[in-house]
This record gives sequence, structure tokens and C-alpha cells, in this order.
Amino acid sequence: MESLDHNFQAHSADQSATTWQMRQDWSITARWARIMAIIFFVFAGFGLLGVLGLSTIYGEMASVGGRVNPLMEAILSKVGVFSFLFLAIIAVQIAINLFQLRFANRLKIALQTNDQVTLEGAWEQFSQFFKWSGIMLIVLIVVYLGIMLFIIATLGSMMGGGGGL
Amino acid sequence: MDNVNQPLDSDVSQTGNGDNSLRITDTLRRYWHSTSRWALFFAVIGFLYLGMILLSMFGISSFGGEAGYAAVLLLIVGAFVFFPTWFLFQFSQNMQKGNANRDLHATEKGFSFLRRFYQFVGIATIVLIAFYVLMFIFVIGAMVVTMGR
Repeated sequence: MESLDHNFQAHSADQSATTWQMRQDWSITARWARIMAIIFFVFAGFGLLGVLGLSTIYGEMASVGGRVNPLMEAILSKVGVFSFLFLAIIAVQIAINLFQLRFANRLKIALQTNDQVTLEGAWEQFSQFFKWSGIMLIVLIVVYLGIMLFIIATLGSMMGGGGGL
Repeated sequence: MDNVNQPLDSDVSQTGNGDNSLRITDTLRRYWHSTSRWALFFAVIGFLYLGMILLSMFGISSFGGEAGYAAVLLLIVGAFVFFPTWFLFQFSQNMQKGNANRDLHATEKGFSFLRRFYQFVGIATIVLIAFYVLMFIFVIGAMVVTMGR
């Protein structure tokens, strides 16, 4: 009986009405999106602790016994750059993940209250989440390809230099 | 204690059997269109990644012997990549079809694939975390036993 009603609703002439099945899927999607967002925030927290912990350890190692170790100081300068890069990546990912959390929360509220404005706000957050995740992925692929090209070029120049000797 | 005075249909609006005032507006369609294009991009990247995994798998399996284990591991990774990628691709295709033709059935199908995508990724993440925790406990346990000898 129930499924007959659902089919009727899904294939009715009114193509602008949301169906029972659609709202059921949204409800489950919102629940899992919330779980994923929370898991991500926990991992981002671990990442932040890791980066800050490593920076502190290297800072302590650079000046053991009040003397500055030049080698450790040189390493520390690189660690500082990488720590900053990691922190920046984590910060951007937290910002992106906030879109997902807002999507999940707003969609849940929209389904509970049947509020059209909240529903539109939820899907706006979701489109922003996908958009910025995509941009982040493109940046990461470009950086990855850049590093690969750099390694290949360095290896090529080393092998070319070695061949000339 | 549960509130026994709450109406029996208090959860109805969540499941949507009651007042269906939520509409599919042009604004919503615009957001869904944007999302589906990015979903297609992720799916293409996912399929490319899957292709690389398959190539590596065939390359490794040609060595034979112990390399077979690595090939099986890659096959498992490939399965983990394939399903979410396929769900995202189907979500994207159905949403684009639904938006272009104002086809409610396709839109509905698209959202069911988005749900499946989230369910798969969510369950896979929980399983992986549980696996890591077990590994961590196993390593700590092994270290304690080794140090105790």
C-alpha cells in the first residue's frame, strides 16, 4: 500500500515535488555526511597535534644544552617550511569540511521542519563542498606532477653530468 | 524516560510522509548541476586511478610467486576505489539527466547513488579505523610481550 503511494508520488505530474524516496535518501546521506565530517575533524586534530609536536621536538633538538647546532638549525629551517605547508593544508581541509558539516546539519533540519530556505542552503553548502574539494584535488595533482617533473629533471641532469665525466 | 505525550507522527516530517512542502526549485537544480559536474570530475579521476591500480596489478602479477600477494592487495584496494567512483559517476549522470529533462525519476535515482556513495565511504572508513586500532593494539601487545621476556 505504502509503495503504491510512493510510486504515485514519484511519477506524478508534479515534477517539482520532492518524493518520499528522495527525502529518505537525503536523511541517510545527511547522517553519513555528518559522521564523515566528525571523523575528518578528529583526524585533522591528530594532524595538527603531530605537526606542532614535531616542530617543538626539532626546536628543542636545534639548541641542546644552550648551544645552537648549525646542522640541526639547517634542518629546522626546512622542517619549519614543511610544518607551515602541512598546517596550511590542514587549515584549508578543515574549511572545506565545514561545508560538509553545514550541509549535513542543514539538510537534517530542512527535513525535520520542511523548510525550503534551509533545504536550498544545505545544497548550496554541498555544491561548495564539492567545488572546493575539486579545486583542492586539482592543486594537489599539479603539485604532485610538479614534484615528479622536478625529480625526473634532477635525475636526468645528474645522469647527464655523470655521463660526461 | 521517554516522552509518552509526544504525537505518534512526530517523526513523520523526517521521513516525509506528512506535509510535503519541500519543492525542487531552479535554485536547487542550479546547485545540483554544479555538484554533478564536480562529481563527474571526481569520478574521472577515480577511474584513472583505478586504471593505474589495474596496470600495477597486472605488472606485479607477471612476476609470480610472492608478488601474487601484492597483486591481491592491489585488487582489494581497487575494489575499494571502484565502488565509490561508480556511485559518484552514476550520481553525476542521473543528476545531469534529471536536470536536463526535468526527469524526477532520474533525479531520485541520482540521490540514491549519492546515498550509496556516502554509505560505502562511511562504512569503509569505520572498518579501516577499526583495522588500524586493532593493528595498534596488536603491535603494543607484541612489544609488551617482547619486553617482558
